Amino acid sequence: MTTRLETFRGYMARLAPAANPLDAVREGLYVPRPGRSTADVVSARLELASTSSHLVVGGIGSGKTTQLLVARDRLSKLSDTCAEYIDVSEIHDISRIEPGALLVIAGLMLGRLLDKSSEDEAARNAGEQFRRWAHGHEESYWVDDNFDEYDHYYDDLEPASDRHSQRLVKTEEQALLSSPRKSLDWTVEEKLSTLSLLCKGLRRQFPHIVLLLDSLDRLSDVSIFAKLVEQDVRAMREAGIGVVLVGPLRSMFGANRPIVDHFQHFYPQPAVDVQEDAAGRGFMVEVLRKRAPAELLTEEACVSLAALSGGVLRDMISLARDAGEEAYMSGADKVEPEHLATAADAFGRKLIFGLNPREIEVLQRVRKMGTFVQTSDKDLALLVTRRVLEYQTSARRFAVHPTLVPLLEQMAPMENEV
Amino acid sequence: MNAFKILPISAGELGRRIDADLGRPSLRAAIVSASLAGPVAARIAARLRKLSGRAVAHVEHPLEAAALVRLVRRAGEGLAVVSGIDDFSEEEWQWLDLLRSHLARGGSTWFVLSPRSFGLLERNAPNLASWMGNPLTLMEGERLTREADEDAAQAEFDRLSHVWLDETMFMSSLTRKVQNPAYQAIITMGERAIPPILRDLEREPKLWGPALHAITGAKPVQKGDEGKVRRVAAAWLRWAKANGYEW
Repeated sequence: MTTRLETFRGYMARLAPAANPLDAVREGLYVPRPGRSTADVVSARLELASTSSHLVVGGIGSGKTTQLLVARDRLSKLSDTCAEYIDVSEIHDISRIEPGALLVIAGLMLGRLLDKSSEDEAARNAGEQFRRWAHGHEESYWVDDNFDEYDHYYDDLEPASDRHSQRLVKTEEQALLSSPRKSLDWTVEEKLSTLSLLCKGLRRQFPHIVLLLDSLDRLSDVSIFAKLVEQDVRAMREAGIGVVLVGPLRSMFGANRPIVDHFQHFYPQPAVDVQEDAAGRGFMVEVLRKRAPAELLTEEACVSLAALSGGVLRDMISLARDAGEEAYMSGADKVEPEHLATAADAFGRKLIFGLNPREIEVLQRVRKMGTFVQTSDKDLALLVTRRVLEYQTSARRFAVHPTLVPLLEQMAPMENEV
Repeated sequence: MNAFKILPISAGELGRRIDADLGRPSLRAAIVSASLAGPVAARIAARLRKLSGRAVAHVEHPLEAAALVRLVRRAGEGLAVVSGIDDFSEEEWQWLDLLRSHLARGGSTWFVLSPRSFGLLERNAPNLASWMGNPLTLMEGERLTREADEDAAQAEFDRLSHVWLDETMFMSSLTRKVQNPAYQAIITMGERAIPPILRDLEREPKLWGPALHAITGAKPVQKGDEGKVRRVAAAWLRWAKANGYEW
């Protein structure tokens, strides 16, 4: 017989916000978003144009990774397509990422897929070269001790007739026109030509190659992301690879916006508008229903959790788990409204912790007026950390995270006194 | 800083939440004052070890985010408790946020943080923070913080008593044994040294009478029993019970 503790542990295990989204997809916990999801559109477009480029941008916990995994699974069902999901942060310390790194990661992954019995020596060598770039290598070679490394200096000192019968003279004139498109770094060019050889070998197995690269949304320095897009993503496309990239939310705003233009398709993944979109609300409830039995989490509790999360999937899962913990702690057999209230209050306090008066002021303005104009990077940080949520259902609108509302209301009189 | 604080919970509640938490992969944060983070982390680790019957890695004072991740990952599917990261800069927290995928594993990881560090985590590592459940803040002065302080006292006593035994092993003069710097350091610990001394006396009587006398001023040993180690120990243990000491 299952004990109460075991029941609650089972409940909480299915509501772990840090769990690998791949497990959720495998366990059948995935619920398609209403309408056409990002995964639907990305996979459909790649089926038609396998070398196209796609940028997915969304807030923390909006389900970007899950969308990538679902798109990968759909593309993998095509016999002529090789679709690989890559969590870049699993392979490389992305705080040290630089142009060329994505190409090396791509080369490593594709090198592993190359049939070991492949007779394409150039492709096999290319795969080996990527392993060397990735992990470094040592080489030993003989040196001729009689070779004079300063030999070429003699050109100017001795009569040409003694050494060469002819002498080549080069002159250089600066080009007047320069391409508006930045040229690839020579290190990236070198990797591109090797990647092209590898792809050529692999195309006998898979005519179409698609890479879905995750985790780059964590880059807080958008200029690094921009360099990767200008160099690596472009090089991958030139090698005939379809690319789907998850990018930082900051790339959508202000001076960073041109980054988006490097991609053929752009998918903002906003929070689900649980307030104004009934289908979205139903989707959120369905996500919980798949994970938690109705005996523990009633329909009403699911609706409340969807509302409290502000449409952020990970926050809803986190709140459901915390409410479950509260229910267990209080001796209850199911999640009651008071458990939801306690979990939401703690969640809001966590989000408001350490904010300065200026940030509180911005949040109060968003709460009262529904307007949010980011005038600084700190304002943008409120959006990036989902204290401010953006919805794009019918018209673009902003709101503070619902768990912050009661706390901000309590603070309003305090501010007025000051 | 705004007026809101994360509501504190009691020590007993923390224990029950740890019990409920077992058996699922999770990332949790407990907030305590910086000075108590180490002992509280040790206590959480001990509690997790006892409940799960498995080894628990206590990652203390990792030099940088990458080292923290490496040490936590060594725990594999097991449990890990992290403390001593109050020196982490904003950049270090940002780095940890980038590395967060490596912290997702089969086992649970507990971060024991000061309020300041928790603020840095929320601000600079929002992705990692979104993976954590609501943080648990421990009440200052509650039983757990007292127990944590006792743990620290026990550790300090263990270290000093080992030094004292090593340095005085071949001494015959009791006066010189008592004058040993490590012994004197135990006396300097004051009341905090009493429970560890009583535990040690109960386990294996040693020359703790002078230390107890120096700390408490009491003289429970009868004239005829002076110098008889077991009788001296029994007298002090009786006195401690009578005076409400717990050890």
